[in-house]
Amino acid sequence: MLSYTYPVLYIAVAAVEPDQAVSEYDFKFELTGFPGTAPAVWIWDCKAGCLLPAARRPKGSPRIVEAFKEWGDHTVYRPWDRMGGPHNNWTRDFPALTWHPRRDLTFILEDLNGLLTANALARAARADA
Amino acid sequence: MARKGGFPAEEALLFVEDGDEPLDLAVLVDERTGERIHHVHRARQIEVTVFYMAGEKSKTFRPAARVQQVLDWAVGPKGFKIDPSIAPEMELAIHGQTTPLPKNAHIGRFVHHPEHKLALDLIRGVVPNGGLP
Repeated sequence: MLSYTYPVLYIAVAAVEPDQAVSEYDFKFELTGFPGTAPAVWIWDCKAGCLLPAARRPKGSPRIVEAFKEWGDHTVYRPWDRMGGPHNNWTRDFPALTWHPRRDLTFILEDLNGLLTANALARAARADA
Repeated sequence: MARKGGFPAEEALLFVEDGDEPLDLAVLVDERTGERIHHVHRARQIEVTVFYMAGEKSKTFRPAARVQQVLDWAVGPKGFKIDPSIAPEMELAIHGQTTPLPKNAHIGRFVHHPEHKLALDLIRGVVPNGGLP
C-alpha cells in the first residue's frame, strides 16, 4: 500500500514484463460506498499524480493490453470496476469477474496481479519450472 | 490453526509457501522463514491432474504450492507444451468449472480431508472487451 486517505487508496502491484524483467504498476482506488458500490480503479502515475500514459502501460498478450487500455471512462477495463461492470452487459456475461458486496479488495488485487504477472508464463512454457 | 480447521494438531503439517518439505515442528523455526507465507494442511502431498483438450497430465505437489506453480508446469515442456505466445492467456479452473483460480492461492485450499487429489482444467482466460453483445 502506498497511501490511504478515505476514500482514495493507492496500491502498487508487482508485474512481469514481456522480457521477464520484474516491475510494478501503481493503482488508484476510489472507494466511496465500498463495499456496496464497486471500487473505481485507475492505473496511475503516483509521481505525476495522473493516469499512467498509454505508452507506459503493461504490454504482453491481448488479455493484458485489453485490461489496461485507454477507454471512455479511463478506469481499468475489467468487469469488477465501477464503470466497467455496467458496461456492455458485463455483469451478466462475466459473473465470476463482477463486483458484489461480499467481495473484498483481495479479489481485485488477485486479478490485477494475475494479469500483470501473466508474462512469466511465456518463460514457463519454454523451460519447465 | 488445526483447531480453527477442526482437526487434531498432531495431524497438522506446516509448509512454507512453495516449499518442498513440511517443517519439522520439533526444531526452532528459522527466523528467516518468519516473513514467509505458510500453509497448514493434513495432506503431505496432493496428486494434481490437469485436463486440457483431449489430454490429461498428473503430477504431485505439496499443499502449499501456489496455483501459479501448477500452471507453470501445465503450460511447460513437461505439461501440455503450450506455445509461449499463448501461455500468458492460460488459467487453471476446478475441473468442469470456468472460473479461474487465483494464481497466488495454495492448492491445498481446494482439497479437503480426506481427499488427496485435485482435478483442474487448463483454460484460456476470458478477455472482456467492448465487442460483446
